[in-house]
Amino acid sequence: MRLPQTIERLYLDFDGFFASVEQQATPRLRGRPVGVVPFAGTSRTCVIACSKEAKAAGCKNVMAVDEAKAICPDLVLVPQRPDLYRRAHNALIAEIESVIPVDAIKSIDELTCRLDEHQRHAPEALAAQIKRTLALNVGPYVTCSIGFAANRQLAKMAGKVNKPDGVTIWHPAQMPGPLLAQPLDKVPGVGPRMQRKLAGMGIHDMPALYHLQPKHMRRIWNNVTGERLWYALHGYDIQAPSTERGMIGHGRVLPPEARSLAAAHEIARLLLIKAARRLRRANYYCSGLWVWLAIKDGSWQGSRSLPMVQDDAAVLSALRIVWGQAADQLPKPVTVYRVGVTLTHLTPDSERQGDLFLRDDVLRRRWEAATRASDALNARYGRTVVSLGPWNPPAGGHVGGKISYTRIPSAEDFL
Amino acid sequence: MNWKTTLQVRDLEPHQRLEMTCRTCGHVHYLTKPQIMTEVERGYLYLDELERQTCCRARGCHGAVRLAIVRTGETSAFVGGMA
Repeated sequence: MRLPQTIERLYLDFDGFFASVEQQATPRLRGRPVGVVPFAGTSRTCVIACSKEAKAAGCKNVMAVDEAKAICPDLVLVPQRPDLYRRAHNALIAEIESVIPVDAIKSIDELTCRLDEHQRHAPEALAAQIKRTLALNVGPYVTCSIGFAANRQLAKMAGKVNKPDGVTIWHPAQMPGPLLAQPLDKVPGVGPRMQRKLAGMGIHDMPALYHLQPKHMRRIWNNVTGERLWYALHGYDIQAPSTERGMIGHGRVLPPEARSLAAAHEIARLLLIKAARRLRRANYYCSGLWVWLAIKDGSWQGSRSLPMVQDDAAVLSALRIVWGQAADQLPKPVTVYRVGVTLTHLTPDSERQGDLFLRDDVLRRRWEAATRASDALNARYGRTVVSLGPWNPPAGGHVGGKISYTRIPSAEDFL
Repeated sequence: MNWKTTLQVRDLEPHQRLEMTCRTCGHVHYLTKPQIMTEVERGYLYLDELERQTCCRARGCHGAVRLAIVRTGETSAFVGGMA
């Protein structure tokens, strides 16, 4: 494995992304402590993102609203606007790409780039140019922290050192000094459980972790990730392996008025149609449906195999069957708190095979044509004007527009 | 000067879609390179010029639009916390 002798990677992390985008878009929020919450009108939720003013007052991301309010009584709570964050993300990435090509987008507020020969010798100038471009063309309230190092992992850790709006450069020649000064919980991949496991082995700080052997770390992690992390911490040219999409799904916490099995079914149906639309946009077919329900004191799950399909009629008929099983097996009445639907066993549409025994190819093609027509109409009018069955989005909106680590929604996810 | 003033339509990949969001009503419509290049000369339009020439397609709106590049939405996964 190659050991770079100079900095080769940049890692950029936006500071309090959701909250700073809200401050940029809404002038009255600027300079005030802001907390973004999933829904308006309830305190029984958590703050999903804090502005730098809120962080300075002691608030943290994923903190209960009551706790955050107790720490910072002036905290301004704003409900999330996923479509705004999506548009901001697209605008910011486009501006960054006018300065340096983006190697990989890691999440809605994190990305990484490779440095060319010239940029390796002038990282400060590159960081200043990126920050200047963003401030000029997007706005000064969305700031970012940038880390430079030999690999992505070290660059990510370096970027966290001088937040907000900082630049940190970890030259290989300086290592491991700055790394050894970091606490263990600053290593991506070392969560609370792994920290407890390490503590049980007498590994309490970064020097102790750093001086382990690669095979020893592999044994502690019980998989190759431990060994990969060792090489990353020691400055080798290594990064997360690329992964392939295996499933497409959506989940939702149900509002109090929609926690009966019948009401949950309506939301599951809506989520499944959204998932099937994503499946088609990504040019996949699926061969299975998995349904998961969080109920009082437990959970329920069921699945159904399908021929290779991508039309709404096929996946909705599978949902009807799985939901019938749930109705038979669950106690009555049942309270459903959360529902998740996932289309599994994906196949690229270029590799689709007809079912040898079912012989439904003619019927499937007709349903696919009907589904394509409804997709085209919805895209043309910018909202759901045609759907298979009723279309009643639940309170709170944003169905199918959830922003996760693995996916940034498109405008079509909000139709 | 921003990224739209440096890119021309002919610089786009053939499959690349442009997202046009109405600044008045929020309606979104998409344009592809073949749709824009009805004449060869339109390939020389800078994206900021294209943005100014395009209007909202929602019935009766015709508002000004904001242009954005559409990304696939796929991110590079963290594997075991590794970036």
